[in-house]
Amino acid sequence: MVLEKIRSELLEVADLALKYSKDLAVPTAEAFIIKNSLTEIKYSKGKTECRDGMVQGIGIRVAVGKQVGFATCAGFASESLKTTIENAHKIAKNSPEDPRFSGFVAESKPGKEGNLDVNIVNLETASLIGQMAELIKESNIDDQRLVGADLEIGTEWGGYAVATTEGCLVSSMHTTHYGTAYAVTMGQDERSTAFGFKAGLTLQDLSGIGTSAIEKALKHLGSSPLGETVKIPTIWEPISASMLLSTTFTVGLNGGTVVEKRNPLMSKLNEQIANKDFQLYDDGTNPEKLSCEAVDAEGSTVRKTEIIKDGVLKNFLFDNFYGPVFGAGSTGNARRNPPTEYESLPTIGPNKLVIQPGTKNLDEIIAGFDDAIYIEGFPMGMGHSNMITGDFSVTATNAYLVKNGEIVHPLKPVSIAGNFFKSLNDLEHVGSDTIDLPFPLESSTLAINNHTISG
Amino acid sequence: MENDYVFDLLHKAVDQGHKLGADFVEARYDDLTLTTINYTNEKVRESSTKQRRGIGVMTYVKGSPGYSFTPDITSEAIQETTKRSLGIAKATEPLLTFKHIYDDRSSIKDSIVKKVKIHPKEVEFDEKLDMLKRGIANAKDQVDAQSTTGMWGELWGDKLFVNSEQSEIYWTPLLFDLRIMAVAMTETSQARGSDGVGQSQGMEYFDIEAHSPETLGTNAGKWCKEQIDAVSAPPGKHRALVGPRMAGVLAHESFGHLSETDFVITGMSPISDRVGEQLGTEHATIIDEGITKEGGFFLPYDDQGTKTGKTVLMDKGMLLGYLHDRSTANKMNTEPTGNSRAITFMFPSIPRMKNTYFKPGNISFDEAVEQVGDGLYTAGTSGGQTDLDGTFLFKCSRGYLIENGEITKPIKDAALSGQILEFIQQISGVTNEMDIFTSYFGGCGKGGQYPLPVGLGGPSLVVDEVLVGGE
Repeated sequence: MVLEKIRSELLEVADLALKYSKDLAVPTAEAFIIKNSLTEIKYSKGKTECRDGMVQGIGIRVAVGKQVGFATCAGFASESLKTTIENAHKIAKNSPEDPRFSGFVAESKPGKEGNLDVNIVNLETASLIGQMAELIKESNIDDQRLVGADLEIGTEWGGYAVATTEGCLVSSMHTTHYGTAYAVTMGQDERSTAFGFKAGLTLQDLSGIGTSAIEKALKHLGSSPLGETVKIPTIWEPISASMLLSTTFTVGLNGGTVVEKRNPLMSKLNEQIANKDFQLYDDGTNPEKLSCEAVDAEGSTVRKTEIIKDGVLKNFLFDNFYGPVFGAGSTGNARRNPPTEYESLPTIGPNKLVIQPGTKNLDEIIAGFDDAIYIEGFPMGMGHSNMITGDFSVTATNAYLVKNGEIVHPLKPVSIAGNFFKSLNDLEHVGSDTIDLPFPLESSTLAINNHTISG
Repeated sequence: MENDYVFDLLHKAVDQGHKLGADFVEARYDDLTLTTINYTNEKVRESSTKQRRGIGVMTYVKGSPGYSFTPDITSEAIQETTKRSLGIAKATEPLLTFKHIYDDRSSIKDSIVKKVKIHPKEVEFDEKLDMLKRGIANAKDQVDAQSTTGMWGELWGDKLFVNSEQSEIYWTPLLFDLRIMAVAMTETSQARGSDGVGQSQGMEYFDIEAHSPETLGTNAGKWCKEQIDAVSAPPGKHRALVGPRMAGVLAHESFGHLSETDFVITGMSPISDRVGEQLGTEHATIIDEGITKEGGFFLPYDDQGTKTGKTVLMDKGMLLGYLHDRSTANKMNTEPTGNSRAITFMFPSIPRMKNTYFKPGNISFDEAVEQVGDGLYTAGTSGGQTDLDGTFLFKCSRGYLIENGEITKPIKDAALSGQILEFIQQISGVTNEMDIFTSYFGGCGKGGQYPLPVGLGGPSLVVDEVLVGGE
């Protein structure tokens, strides 16, 4: 009921934006309207930080022929909306023409929304506090090595609407419930940290995320330095594997940078870029997953797109601007940056990249290596990789030495360097243990040859 | 909107908060305008303006904080926001053991308007686009670029603040950021170079040749060209000369964040309870300051209405203090340092940095290169990341080998990593230069609040040992 009321409000504001555009003699326009309720509670050793509010705003794109302008405002006030349309119009008139612009989305058939859970919408603050109290309790273990665990839980629900003067008027709603834990432990002259989290479209059972983070952080105490620079295989559990691949795939599959001629994969379409057992697709249509929306951030229908088949690159991802320039059309991959999506122009990004799982689980993969490095958690520095060449160098703070098929001991932070694109060809194993992650890419355990490890 | 009208609304929020049971209330108003131009491959890819206007209310009930916000600048919306803020403050109170209690302070009435000769808002779009075009033209004179990007960003507006002490503070944030980037193709890889400036200044800043779009473009093109034939950085431990940009990132990302008292007071930071300890060498002096002579971000007040000043975090290697908000300062029996900041009205203020930098030393740049002897010079950075255990990784986007006391070949992207408390024990020299900058494209990220404008920089640091990752 509440979500449908918000949907109606979003569509009304969208309609109003089109009406004002007409009144203000704007040739063509696109309105992106968002309204999201969020409640978040953070806890750190008796200290809290809480926020409860409604994010709402409007992003307007105006086109005068092939001149485009963009303006935004927070809130839905009529005067602000009119001023924003005028600003976007003024910017468009002052901007040079971009001959590649082919118009806003004209029509769109909304797909499935993610599963909506009214229990999240109806969740009282007191219930959230109760969940936090439980997490605090489970994280309060009797171990002097535990420095503390930072905890966060929250809900987000709402949606967005897109309307264009070309005839598009669509919306998409979502609900989310999440919890995270970040544990810090201390041993003899060393500190260790680890994460635990859970997130989903429906109300989650958050129990266990605190103890899981603490166990991981404790397990890593007693680390030894690697003490040399070696070139041996690396084994990445699903979270670290997702971190390794997410950033560079997000850049490498961007059809916009293909058009702009600065994408490292631009000449590789229909070529072998990965091990022949590697299959990858982008899927925004699975209603069980956090990434599922009925339409993308420009109003285009979201779909499932084959990206890599048997190691061969089959497609790039496109929005409604670059798709037509490339001659491929939009793949429903226009995204805007959270949490104030209305402030951002559409950019191209994956809905949810999914690697087709293999047959072996983590233990079986580890058992297959005489010498390797096993990496858990969030390696640092992937965001600072060379997106163009694919060269990366990350620091793994939760790494372990593997000898004769077994984890021997934790390692002091190690630096792992390699090339992302070479890594796709050097894939030794894709695991069977996929887990649902709130990241752009969903992976299982990966084992990769030829990385350089220093530490 | 008229300041008197907004101050009146903020006072109403404070009064209502007290009537509903709050012990202390802070109400903030932001009205910020952000303008972006993205000029990629000589086409305008983005031309936009954003208005961030809204009110945020923080209430405290028995020391428990609750925050809510609204973009609707009406009495009704602000009443509802105050109620929501109080609701969550009351609900979380049973979880608390750390109470947000303030000491008594006098009311502040202040108005600070950043004065510049030519405000960015007075300059037309065409003139800003022309700056990007001039920068790109100069970049292309240096290198056969496959792709070029010029970016302009500006942020300015009004911030108003009222609290239970009847303080009324008004100030005007301002910053611009101009960047030129070039990408060139070789047979086997791609190379890139970039340069830019971000400051809280007027447009007259670009009249100085070192900051002109032409100079930035020339640098971007030149640095891109030298990357084409760059050699790989040898992995392992090296001596290094860390340039002002990376020194600033180190001061901010690794040491600065560990000094923020939300981490310190809970014991989560590795430098908790270590004031008075000699953590670094005599060359390591780290400062966090609201308004600096050398530039960076202009920040006269934080978002709890505390006037910013100069906070010496580390003096000649000795830890002197931390970055406080009002409640942590009260708890630790010291003065607030003006470090409680929020990125927009949608977020509560939390301990964040101002302008963080290493203090300059007394050797020249050439002397520093000679002191390194053999190692690396890390001149540019594309940013970094740090963990609460003090582990850091910083990307060197422009660097060179130092051989026999001279800067020689350019190196490809390399990552410097280590542990900050070990790093500051390796600083054996500091140059007498000083460069502080801020940014519109990027900034500080914490607690979901990104990108907050901060300033960072410093001199160049001679470091005896740092781990370099690479193949």
